[in-house]
Amino acid sequence: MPSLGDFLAVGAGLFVLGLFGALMKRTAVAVLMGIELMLNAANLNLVAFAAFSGRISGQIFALFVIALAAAEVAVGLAILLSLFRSRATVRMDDIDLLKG
Amino acid sequence: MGQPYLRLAAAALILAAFVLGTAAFLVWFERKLLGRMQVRPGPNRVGPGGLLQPVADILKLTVKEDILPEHADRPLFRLAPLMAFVPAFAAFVVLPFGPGLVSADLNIGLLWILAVSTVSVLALIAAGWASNSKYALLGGMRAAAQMISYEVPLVLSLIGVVLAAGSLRLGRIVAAQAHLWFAVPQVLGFIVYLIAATAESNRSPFDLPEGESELVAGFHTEYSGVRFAFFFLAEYSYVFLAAAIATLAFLGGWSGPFLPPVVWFLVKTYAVIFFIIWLRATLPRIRIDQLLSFGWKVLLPLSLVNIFLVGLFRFI
Amino acid sequence: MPEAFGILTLATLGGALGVVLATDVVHSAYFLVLAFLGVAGYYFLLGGEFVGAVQILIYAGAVAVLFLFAVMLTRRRADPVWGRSPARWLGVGGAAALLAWLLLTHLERHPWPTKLPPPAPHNTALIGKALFRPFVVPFEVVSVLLLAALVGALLLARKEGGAS
Repeated sequence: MPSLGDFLAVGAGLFVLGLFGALMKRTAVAVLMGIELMLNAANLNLVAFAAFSGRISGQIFALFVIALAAAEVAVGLAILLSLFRSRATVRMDDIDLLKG
Repeated sequence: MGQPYLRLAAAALILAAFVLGTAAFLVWFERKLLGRMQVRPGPNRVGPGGLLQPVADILKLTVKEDILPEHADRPLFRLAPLMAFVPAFAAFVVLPFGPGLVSADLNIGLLWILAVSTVSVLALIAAGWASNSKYALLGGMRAAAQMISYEVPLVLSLIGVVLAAGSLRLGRIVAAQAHLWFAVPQVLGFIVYLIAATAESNRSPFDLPEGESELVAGFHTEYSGVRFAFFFLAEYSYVFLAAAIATLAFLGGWSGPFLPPVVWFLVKTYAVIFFIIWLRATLPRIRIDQLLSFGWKVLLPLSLVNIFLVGLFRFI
Repeated sequence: MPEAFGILTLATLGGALGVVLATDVVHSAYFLVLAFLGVAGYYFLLGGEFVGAVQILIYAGAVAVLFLFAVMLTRRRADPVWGRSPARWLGVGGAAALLAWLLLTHLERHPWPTKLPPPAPHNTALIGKALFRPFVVPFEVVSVLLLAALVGALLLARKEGGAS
């Protein structure tokens, strides 16, 4: 029977992998994927705490995070597309000017 | 310990046999019906009335050569047919064929079916992408745009049903229709559901992802043999699923006089399937931009009106 | 249940590892789907079947498709993590390893409950009631935010000066 700590450990692993991906990847889309992994790790912790404490609010928070993550991805990818249109690149290293 | 797993395995085996049998029967049913509607006999050589035609087809497909296109993305190309079929199978798990006749009675049954069937979009994109062919890629992209767009009115049309029944459990939804089928007060939702479900399962007149006159065969252009058969199986599973949900959510499910519930369920489901095939025989394929603007500008507002009306009547 | 937990851990962490290590961004996206499905499995295991189904519907169904669309609409290049400079490996790898070590050692010290209380029989109904009673303000704020994101994404992704 896995304990709450086991779920939290998986969440920690997921978060670390997401962080590593977000900082190591060059392609902007892959960086966004890393961010999604981190959000999922946080969500996993919320639902695990909710389940083990027998309360519902953790699940509600997870639902809010999911909705916000969907909005974030939509806007993030839209920014990426318009960036690609004006610069013809999606590599993070090439996008380092504040003024276009 | 072993007991629940044993039960699960048995249920999975029975379901697998049922899905395979249904898909094979639907292939015959569709070809025969199309034939009759076009004033020709349809398959009539293999077995009585051509009933064994699907068996011959399956045999042919399994012995065919399995071709991997050059420069294809091999792992994705191999995975795509499975990705198309597994969600369809997972959706069947919560489908009740009669009172208590269900492999896993989830209390969010309807949501589960909707959720897992969206995953099959990923399979179509994978197939289109991995084939390394422009027709396949165009088909895959079209499939994604179409299925994402029609998912919205599909879900919204079912929300009216959930609102009226007060539950996501399919058994409860059927029970709530004991006096009146939801198709009567929610005609609007029913029509939106039928159109959106036809589009979701990529059926004619919405079969743009595989429109053969423009895209050869769309996302499965490069597939052959057993892998092609999997896509076929997935498509017919979705047709059955779409009709089964229409039956459960709008047509009173398995309730009906005299006959046993399972028979009623199958009769109603096959009536809906008949309607879907009838559409295919009657209507020409529409254009992709017409399709998308129809989904967003007509179906979506209509489904919202339906939800509003249901809410209003519940409030009064 | 331990077996299910093991399989899900394999899928989730394996998927996450695949996202990071895959050279092709399309493969990363499909590994991401695997990780999403694994997390949804945990939710089912924890008795939150509504959140699990929503996770599959939104993440595996919608977000993953958005990612794939974005990859296909932009130019794709190989993106291996092992091609980065040694300094970056040292910095990021060190930071990630340190964080993992901190989190895991801290987790080990605490006596965590092992017994899962039985899930509420009307879990989904409870979520619905909570969303519309105590959480109604955040709920409305999120719906406004989603609308704003929808309009904003459309505005950004539109071709400039295009009629459609």
